[in-house]
Parts: sequence; structure tokens; C-alpha cells
Amino acid sequence: MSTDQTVRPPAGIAVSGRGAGPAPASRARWWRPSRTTWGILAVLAVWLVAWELTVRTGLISSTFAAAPSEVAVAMVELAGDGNVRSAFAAAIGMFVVAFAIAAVAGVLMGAAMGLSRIAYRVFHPVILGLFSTPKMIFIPIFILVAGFGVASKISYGAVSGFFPVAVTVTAGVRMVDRRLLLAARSMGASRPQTLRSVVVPGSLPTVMAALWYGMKHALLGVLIMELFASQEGIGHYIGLYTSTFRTDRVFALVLGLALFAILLGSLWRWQEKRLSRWRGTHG
Amino acid sequence: MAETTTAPALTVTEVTMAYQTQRGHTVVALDRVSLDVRRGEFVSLIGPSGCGKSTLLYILGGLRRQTSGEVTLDGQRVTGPTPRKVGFVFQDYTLFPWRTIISNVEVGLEFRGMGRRERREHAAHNLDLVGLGAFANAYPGELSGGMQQRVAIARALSMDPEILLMDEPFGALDEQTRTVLGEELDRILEKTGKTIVFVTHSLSEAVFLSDRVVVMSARPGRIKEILTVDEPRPRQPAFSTSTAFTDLRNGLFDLLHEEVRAATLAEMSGAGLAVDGGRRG
Repeated sequence: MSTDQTVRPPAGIAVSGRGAGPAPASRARWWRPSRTTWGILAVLAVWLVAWELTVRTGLISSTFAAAPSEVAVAMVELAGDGNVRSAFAAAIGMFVVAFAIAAVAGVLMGAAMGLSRIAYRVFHPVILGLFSTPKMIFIPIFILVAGFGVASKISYGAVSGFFPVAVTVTAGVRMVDRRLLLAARSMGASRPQTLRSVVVPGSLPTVMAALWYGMKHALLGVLIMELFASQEGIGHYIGLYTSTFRTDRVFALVLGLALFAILLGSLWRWQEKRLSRWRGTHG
Repeated sequence: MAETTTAPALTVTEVTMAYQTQRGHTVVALDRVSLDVRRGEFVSLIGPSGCGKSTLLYILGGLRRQTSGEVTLDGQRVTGPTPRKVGFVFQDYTLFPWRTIISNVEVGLEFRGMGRRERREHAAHNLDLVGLGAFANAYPGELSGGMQQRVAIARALSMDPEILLMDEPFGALDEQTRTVLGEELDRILEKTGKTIVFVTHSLSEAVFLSDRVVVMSARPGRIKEILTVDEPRPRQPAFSTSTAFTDLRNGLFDLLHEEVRAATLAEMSGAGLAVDGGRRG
């Protein structure tokens, strides 16, 4: 009852907005936000206004925080700067390569550990141990071996992404329903047939989750390295603007990266839903 | 079912199954079990839990290897799964949840390498046979347990095996569904003439469906007695309320009661020993 009440006002706004003119009406036809979406937008709006006000009224010094309006202006400015744009593109490019390496190596390693008891016994303790160790402490070694350039960022991102993928894929493969494996065997499935028809689809949801973790960690790895070894690129700009107190620009860059991560997440969820449609039929 | 020839479809000779527990004890699950199953016959295996009836079924189908003894199928030794001759129906349906119903039914034929069109035809025919033709494009998660088990039966039938091995196929279902599915199974078998070995816990189910009921003893599993059910097929619902049925069922109850009692007492004393051992260790 009470949640109904709190959610209703934004919905009311939507109705009056739709009546206001023909343009929003046609827009509402292809984009019909749910009540939850309206709720999120409302929270976001309140938060932005509060943020703007705290900075404007001097409650927080503008040296440390920029108002949303200033960040928006900075974003437009930076988007017009070719150097920043190419730094952004370079970071995304490095992330893509790092993730691709992490995904391929991680899935192969995870599949091996999930399928072979020997591989599991040999590699799993080592990989789990390394996965639990904070990789940050290896950053100097990465820089020492691969330098300050692209190589250290990609390799650090790839290593960061590899471990969660390998460990999660292993779990996914090992958790495939044994009864289904037995049923396949009783129907005369060969090993490759069992792999294709039972192990792959049976572990797919976990593999998708594994890749998502890998993606997150690879992005994190590339960005951390950007901040550490920053003679150019996004990390360089973030460092530069921080040391020159251009908080609006720092926020703009961070927000840009966050938006990229959110976009990635939404794309991923959509793809996952599409791939595992059969699961929606449960319950 | 009328044409049961004399040559057995399945011969079990002195099959023993023993395994080591983690503590290093040797457990004898099956002790020199011998049994002939005739072609077209419906044989039930019944006994207290842990008597090795499911193990025996898995050995018959080549999914487990016995410690000693021999199983022959049409005169050939069973050393592994023979999907062309033996079909399995498991207790928990074991349908692939990511495949549609029709594609679940044809999966065995796919493993066999049959072409898409041909296997779809076989699958559709068998799905119709179990009365689920309308659900071809549904997913298993959308079906009730009873329907899923009918799909699993269709899947086994579509491979056209001579023998169907069923491991408590209706064990997870409620009493009413169970009875109806039992009658339906009888009707389907009447049409297809398969040989069946059927593991069950239900006395009524065993009597209603079987030509012979094999009563097994508590561990180590041995054959205690074999009851014959002389009732024409297809079995009518009225059979289950007849005095012949009740007499058979009661006879079975008496035979089993001692065994279940023995098994339960053994389990309890085993648990007591385990606690003692734990204290000492």
C-alpha cells in the first residue's frame, strides 16, 4: 500500500507530461518506462539537485567537488577535445583486447579444470591462491617487464580478468547436473556430443556470469594501470586535472567511464536474457 | 505381451556388486543375483532401500560395472550402454531444460546420428503416443512432473529399444498422478510390446503393472522371492480393487515387511556404531 503511494506521483507526472504536447506522446509509445524506472529517475533527480545545492551553497568546497551542472559543461568541453577523445578510445581499445585475452584464456583454463580431475588438482589451488592475492602488489613488476605503455595496461587488465573467469567457469562446468550426464550416457552420447549437448548449455549461465566478472575486472585492471603508469591516456588526464584542481573535469572523465561501464552492463544483461530464454519458463 | 517366447531377453548370472566405503569397509550391495527376463515381460524389482535394486538396474543397462558375474542381452555380454537395445527412464525425468520438448524427445536419435527430418518424425510420433503432441514446442520447466516423465518415456521409446529400464519413474509424483500414469504406461506398452524392468517402492504399482515381481532382501541384496501376477493385459482399473489384487499386494507386504524391518534395524545399529567410532577416534 505504502509503496504504491510512493511510486504513484512520478507516474502521475508521466500522464500529465503525455497530455502536454504531441511530441512526448509519440515518444511514450516506444519508451514506456516502468514504475521502477520512474522511481530510479526520481531518486537520481533528487540526488542531483541535492548535490548541486551542497556545492552551490558552499557546504562542500568547490575545490573538492564540482556541481553537476559544471560537470555537464566539462563533459561537453572534453568531448570536443580530440586528445581526450582519443585517450578514451585508446582506453576502451585496450580494455577490449585485455578482456578478449582474459575471456579466451579463462574459459579454456576453466573448462580444463572443470572437465579434468588432474587439471583441477594441479591448477586450481594455484589459481585460487593467486585470485585471492591482491594483484595491485604486482603492478611494479608489470611496469618493470612491460613498461609504461600499452603492453603493461593490456597485460595487467588481461591478468585481472583471467582469474575470475577461470575460477567461475570451473565451478560452472563442475556443477553441471550429473543426472543429465548419466542420461546422455544412457542414450549413447559420445564425449564430444556430451560436451556440446550437456556441458556447454548446462554451464552457459555460469559462463556468462564468469565473463561478466572478467569484463569488470579487466576494465578495472586497465584503468588502475592507467592511473599508475600515466604519461598519456585517461589516467594522465585524471592525474593532470586533479593536480590542477579541475574537479569538474575529473568528475566528467570518471562519469564518462562509469557511463561506459553501465552501458556495457545493460548490453550484457540483454544478451544474457536472450541466450537463456528457457530459464524464464521456470517457476 | 501374449507372445512371450522362451528365449530370455536378458540373463543375469551370479551378479555381485561390492564397493569400498571411504572408511575402507567393503559393502556388498548385490550378492550373486541371478534372473532371466523374458521377451515382452514386465518385471518389477522391489525391496527395502539400499537393497541394490537401482544398482542392479544400472548394471543391466551397462551404466555401472558389476564386481563379478555376467549380464547378457540377446546372448551378448553387457559391458557398457547399448542405446539401440536398452532405454532408460530415470526417477527425476532428466530432461534437458534448455531444449524444447520435441527436441528432448529426439536427442537420443541425434546422438545416434539420424538426420534432422527423420528424427523429428520419430519424436513427433512418440510424443503423440504419450499424449503430449500439443506441447512439442514448450520447455520442460513449463510442464508438470507427470508430463515431464511422459516426455522422458517418449524419449526412451523414440530410440526404439527392446528393453526399457525404469528407475522409480513415478516415485516423485503424487498418488493420483502415479496411478493414472501407471495405467497409461500399461496402454503404451500394450502398443509397443517392450520388455520392461521396473524399480519401484510401491506395492500396488508393482502388482498392477507386473507379470512378475522380484522381491529383494535387505543388504546384501539377494532375490528373496518372485511373485507371478496372472492377470490379462491391458490391466483394467477394476483390477486394483479385486480380491486377487489385494491378496497379491498383501502377500508382497508380508514378504517386504520383514526385509524393511531388518534393513531399518541394521541402519540404526550402523548409525550407533558410527557414533561410537567417532567418539573413540
